This record gives sequence, C-alpha cells and structure tokens, in this order.
Amino acid sequence: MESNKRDYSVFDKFNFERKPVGIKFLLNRPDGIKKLDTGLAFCEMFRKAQESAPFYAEKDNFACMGSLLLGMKDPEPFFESGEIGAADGIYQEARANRRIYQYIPKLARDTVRYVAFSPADKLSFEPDIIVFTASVSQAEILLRALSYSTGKLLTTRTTPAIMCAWLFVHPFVSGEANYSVTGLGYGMKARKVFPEGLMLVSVPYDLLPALRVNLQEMQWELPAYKLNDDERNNYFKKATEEIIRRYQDS
Amino acid sequence: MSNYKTDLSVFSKLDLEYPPVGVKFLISRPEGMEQLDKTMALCEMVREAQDREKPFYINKDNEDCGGRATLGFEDPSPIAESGQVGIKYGIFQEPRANGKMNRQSPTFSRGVVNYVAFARLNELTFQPDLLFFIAAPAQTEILLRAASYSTGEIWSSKVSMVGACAWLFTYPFQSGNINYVPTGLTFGMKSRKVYPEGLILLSVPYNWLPVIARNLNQMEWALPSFMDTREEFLARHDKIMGELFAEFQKP
Repeated sequence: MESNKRDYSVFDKFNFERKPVGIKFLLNRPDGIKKLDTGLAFCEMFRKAQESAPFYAEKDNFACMGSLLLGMKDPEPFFESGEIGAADGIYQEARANRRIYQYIPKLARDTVRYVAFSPADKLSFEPDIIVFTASVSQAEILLRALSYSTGKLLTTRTTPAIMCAWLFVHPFVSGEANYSVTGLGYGMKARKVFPEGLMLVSVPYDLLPALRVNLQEMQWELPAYKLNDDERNNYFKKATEEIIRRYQDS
Repeated sequence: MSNYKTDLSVFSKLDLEYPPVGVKFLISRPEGMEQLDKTMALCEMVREAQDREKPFYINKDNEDCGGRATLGFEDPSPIAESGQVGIKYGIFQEPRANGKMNRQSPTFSRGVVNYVAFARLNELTFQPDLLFFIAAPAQTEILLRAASYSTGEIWSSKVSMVGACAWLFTYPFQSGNINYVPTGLTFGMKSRKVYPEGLILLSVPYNWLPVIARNLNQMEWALPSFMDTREEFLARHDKIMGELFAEFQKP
C-alpha cells in the first residue's frame, strides 16, 4: 500500500468521542499491519478499529454478512431467499427480505481478499472510505462541508438489515457519501455496537479532498445558530435587505 | 374535504413526545377550521400544530420563509434562486452551489396549492396527504421497519441543507416516497430551534399510511434480539440459522 499522502488533521478539530476510521478494500495482503485475531461482524470491526492499532481482516474474520458483500463467497440460498429476515422478525415473510438482495451493493467475487482498518490518526494507507461516528451537531458540519462547494443534497440509502452494505460498500462503489443514525439498523442494534442516536457518516475517497478543503475554509458554527429568536429574525431581515439592495442597485 | 377514513389509531401507541401531525394540500379554503393567526416558516407549522388543540390552515399570508416557493404560493425570486441567500448566511462557498441545490428542490405548480391544513393525529378531521412524525431513533426504527416489513422497501432520504421544507412537504407528496431527516442537520430548522437535536423527523405520504398502520398492528415492535445481550443475540442467531439450515437440507 502507498504511504499516507493526505493530511487528515482537520478532523482532529472535531474532538470526536469515537475516532474516524479509514477502510481500504484490497486484493493483496497489506504490509505492515497485523491480522485481526478474532471473528467479528463488519460493523464490529469498524467499532474495534476506533480504539486499536490498524489491522486487516480476511474471509475467516467476517462473522456476519460482510464476506458476502465483499465478494469473498457466493450467496447462500437461505440468506438470499429471505428466510433469515422473516425468522428474525424483521420482515413479515421471506419475500420482503428477498427483495433487498436485489438492491444491496456488493463487490465482484474474489476482487477483495483483505480489508484494512485504521483510526484516521494512524493511517498508513490511503483509505477508500473514512467513516465518522459523530454527534448530530458534528455531523451537521461534516455534511454541510460536503455541500458547501457543491450544493449536493444530503442523501441516505440503507436497509433494515445488512446496513454494513450501505455504510461501507455503497460509498465505495457509488462515490456518494452516506449516513445513518445508530439504533436504526438491525444487526448493529442487536449486537449493541453503539449507543443510539449517533450519526455514522461514510465518505468515499473521491470526496475527501473537497471535504478537507471545505472544512478548512468554511465557518463551522454559523452565526444564525447562536442567535435567539429576536436576534435571528433581525439577522435574517438585515441579510435579506442587503441582498435586495445590492440586487436593485446593480 | 372528505371525512377521515383510514384508521391511524395505532400510531398513538408509539407514545411520541410530539404528537404526529397530518397535513393536507388544498386548492380551496378548508371548512371547519380557522386560519393560523400569525406568520412563520413552513417547518415551524408542524411544531405549531403539535402545540394547538384545534386544526388550522394557512395561506400565503402566513408563510414567511422558503415555503412560499415550494408550495407554489409565489414564483421563486431571482435572488433566492440564483443562490445569493445561502452565501450571506455562510452555508455555501459560492452562489453556484446554493443555486444548484435550489434547482433540485421540488415545488408545486403556481396556484395549485392555495391552502395547507394542519392537525394533530387525534384531532384529524381530514384524510392527510402527509403524516409527520418526530420520533426518537428507537421509535423511528419501528416506523421505518413497519414500512419495510411487508415490502422490503429500502430506507432512503434526500434533503437539502437549506429549503428542507421542499423535501419534507412537497417531495413525499409528489413522489410517494417516505422521507426523513435527523433534527439538527438542516439550516432553517436548526436556526429556528424548531426541535431539539437528535430526533428524527419523518414525513410519510398517504399511500404509505395503510401499509405502515397494518404492519404496526401485526409485527413485533421490540424484536427479541434487541432485548438480548450481544452474546444472547449471537446464540439466538446460531439457533435460528441451525433451524433454517436443517429445514433447507430436508429432502
């Protein structure tokens, strides 16, 4: 893997309670980092990476659906038939659960054999995605930074089960950021990976340069957020009047 | 307006801190309710309805923010549409970014909606076009799971940093899609302190209400796995997998 070419120090200014994690999908074994020594679900590996040295995982480490999403194994009939989601009580019948397998993003078979994880402040590789665990107000800054220079909408896509597909694979294959709220997805909720109400924001590599630059340039706490009702109304009124005056004078 | 038809009483069992609010878009003035007696932003009107016992309606005189354009009460101003406003507030780097976001905003055609009615769930006298929920993540999980329970529906949402009302009011009605956003993410509602941060605002269009209501009456709200410890969940999962595999292997 290449050495770290990017400076992610701007993320340190958030003082996240849980560290952002860089993830890389690899065909070949990464050098210089150790293999995870236990079996975990993909979402649990992400959680573990927040408080450990960098590590990599391969097929025998993935204890849940991760190996299917990563193309490390073929689909199994009693998963893709939807029987498991019905048995877990997530879906009324297997047919409803079956539908999600038509949508969930997956990587081509055998194109990923290793997945590297590292806290953002210990990255020795160029991450394919960085996943943030943030409060709502921190996520507002991150998501606003993604729109600041682009005007992009805030979009999310996920499914009640196999949320890892949407947090880890979808941003990588689509180039779109994704976010979710902890407590909404079945597996992470059942495994007690995070307390409820945190924001998980997943940003693919191609959006990271703009995210870093915009975070360095923009105001993190907008003036309007600090004002009471009267102050805010005056602020909005004055701003509108100035915009109209300038428009009319031009 | 026609009388209330669909039984939405199951939503009361969610015991939400903020009651659900029904919204209806109307071309003609609704009968049997009063006009709101003040001005505010469209996003604040759901909150206003939660605090009032009686339904009310609004027209263009009541809306003092971006809702006027998304509801088609007036044409968008060149100043707003060109993206000048978001720059002034520091939301965007340049007008082009704000303008790009504005161009994607769904709007009603001019004059199609002249009135909007609001009522709390337990005061509904009309069949709502949208039902708004403001819920904690655990309550939201139940509502969204109810939408997927019989359908396999993906949970997706789209919203803009500014003018979020277009995505929470106009978009669900026009697209038929559920939309949601955590409170505290969008500029107007955050600035106006409409709700505390960390709740989730869901806008559910009329076509989804019978599906969700029916599924809520049928499904388990608190799944057994959610009450397990992690180890209990893993044991439960292994047991279920074993049973499914045994069934699968039967000749």
